[in-house]
Amino acid sequence: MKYARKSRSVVALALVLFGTGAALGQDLLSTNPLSGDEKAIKSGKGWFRNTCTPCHGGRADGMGDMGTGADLRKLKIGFRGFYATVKNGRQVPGRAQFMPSFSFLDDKTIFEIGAYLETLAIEGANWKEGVVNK
Amino acid sequence: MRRGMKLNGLALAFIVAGLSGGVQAGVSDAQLSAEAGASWLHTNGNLAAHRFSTLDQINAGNAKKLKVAWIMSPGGKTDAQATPSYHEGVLYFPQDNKVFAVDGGTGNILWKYEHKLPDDWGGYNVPFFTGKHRGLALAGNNVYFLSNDAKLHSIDMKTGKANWVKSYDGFPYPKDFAKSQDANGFITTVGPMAIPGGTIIVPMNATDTGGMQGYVLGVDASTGEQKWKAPMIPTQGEPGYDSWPPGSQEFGGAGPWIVGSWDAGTKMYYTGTANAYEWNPKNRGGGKLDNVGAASVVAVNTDTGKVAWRYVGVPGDPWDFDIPQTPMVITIDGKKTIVQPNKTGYVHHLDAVSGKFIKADKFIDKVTWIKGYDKNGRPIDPVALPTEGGDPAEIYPSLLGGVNMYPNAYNPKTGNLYLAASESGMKYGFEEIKVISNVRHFGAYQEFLFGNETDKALNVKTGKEVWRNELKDKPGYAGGMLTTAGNITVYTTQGGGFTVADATNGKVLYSMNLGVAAKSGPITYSHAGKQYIVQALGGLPGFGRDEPWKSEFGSMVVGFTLE
Repeated sequence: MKYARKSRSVVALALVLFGTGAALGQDLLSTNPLSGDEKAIKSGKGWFRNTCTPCHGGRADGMGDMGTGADLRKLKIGFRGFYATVKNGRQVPGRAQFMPSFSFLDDKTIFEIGAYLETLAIEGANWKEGVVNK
Repeated sequence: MRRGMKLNGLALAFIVAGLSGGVQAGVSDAQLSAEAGASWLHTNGNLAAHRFSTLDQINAGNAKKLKVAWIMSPGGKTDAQATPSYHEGVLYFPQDNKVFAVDGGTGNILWKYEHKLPDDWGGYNVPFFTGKHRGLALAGNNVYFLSNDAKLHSIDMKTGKANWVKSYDGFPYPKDFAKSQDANGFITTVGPMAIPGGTIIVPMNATDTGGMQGYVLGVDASTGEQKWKAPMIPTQGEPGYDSWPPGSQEFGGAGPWIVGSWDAGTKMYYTGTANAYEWNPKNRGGGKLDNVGAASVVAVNTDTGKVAWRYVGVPGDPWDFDIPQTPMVITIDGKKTIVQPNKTGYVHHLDAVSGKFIKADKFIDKVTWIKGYDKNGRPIDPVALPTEGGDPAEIYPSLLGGVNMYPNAYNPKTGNLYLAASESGMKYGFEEIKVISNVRHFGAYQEFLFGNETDKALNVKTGKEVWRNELKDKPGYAGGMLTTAGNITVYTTQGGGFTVADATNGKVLYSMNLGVAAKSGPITYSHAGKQYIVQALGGLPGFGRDEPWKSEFGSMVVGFTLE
């Protein structure tokens, strides 16, 4: 199933579906329904700069004051991988520090953060379809 | 007959020594009060936190003959930030909520003590802090360890078994957002400190995990019972109380997150404190109120638990310029002085008795957030704050500071301070403050502008730089400083470059690439007639990306001695 970017009706449908739980694991979305949405980008920036910058840094380059977050400008795991990682977190073998689960964030907020991060993407980044991080 | 009399005399001598706390096993008050020499009892060497050792077997004349005596690994899973302690043949250090006892001559593990964190452990920034510790305390026959969940453990030095484990009312641990309606809590990465008279100092910090206000506890070394609780933020009736909007103190931060110092004359424990919380200052006066107690040096009378004075180094701290660095107690021109190199880019000098500001010496090249300190210790011409949601401000140094948590040293023979310094700046802006599970988030962000690691000596009286060893294109800080009566200063660069320099002129006398990031200070001790220098290493270089150093994650402790 494909969604046209910036299509308000499709975005609304996607959010309704996500809101009802028909989301992760069912391969519903391969791209961010809020990608390119200016209002979403602005909101996502505010969330990113509260919840994510301690580890990922203000530039999203992994230079946080709380240490080694991933360089999100080069996100390789696609939108679905991004969503899954935010929801589930990611353990790093052999390390105490890990990406915690942000399952308390609603889907709209995660989409907004993703929409903001897409604006920071550099060459090689993948915000399209991707593997879901286990 | 004569032999028997001799034995009786020896027995009597041991009894007398035992009664006076002289040579019995364990750590006496007299030993706690001594300069670091054969033993290294305190995280920062002595009670005054000089990180100076009287040992001189290893010295500027023979340091080139150092060799690796042993290497061990505690299997660390995060940064090794703890300075080891040493007493009577054994090194003690914490890592990952474990305590290791290690043979000081071989590096062999003698025992390991392990503490399990609660199942609902978690919260804001907590994965970053988990497993990190900045030292232990030794007193009597016990090792005192603060686990991350704000529990104090008394552990038998010989057996590694717990005598008791205590938690303290009002100091919850931080919890997983998804498992708690209130995820706020204290995460203790700071080490405890033993002072004469049977008190263990226990700092409590929750600043960057949601901002619950900081305290210092005095605890009975025998029982673990709380003797007193000193608030870093003034309570009603204390000077500075009205420097906070009503109610903002509750989540005002100001936690003591680096071990402090103590003076027998003033009976005061001196500590730096963390930033005021949230980072975005709009709920605590917008940077216009001083927020006394945060980004401050606080003196606590350890007989009474009363705060004697507070000096705020960054009024209204809008930059995350907490000044938690260890205040050193140094007598300068006959005056007992608190000397604190801190994040601001200045070394602050305060009267140890009154807290009155004496001077502030700039020690890094680029400082733009203010133009200096006036005679009252107030910042001169601070730069304008960014607006919420607007463009960030560019200032120097960054919130990582001119110095950070990496301990500094003072050598009374050279009269120099030795600083694990760095040049850096940042772009820093404010955003709306988000609240999740009752945890207030920073409402601020930074983009770092990294400069070079710069390890340097400053004359403590004049504030003039004596020497510097600058690492070109290598950001970060040395793990910490050690200096000795052998006229050497020892540090390991963020990238793992173990370095012994001439304390007088900075000339590098010996170096070895250890290949793992250093985030703790080296120590020295005498074991079986030989002087050793030990450096703990672990983690990745820097606070952020590690590319400039081209090294991978590691965990080890290395002992050096002469050939």
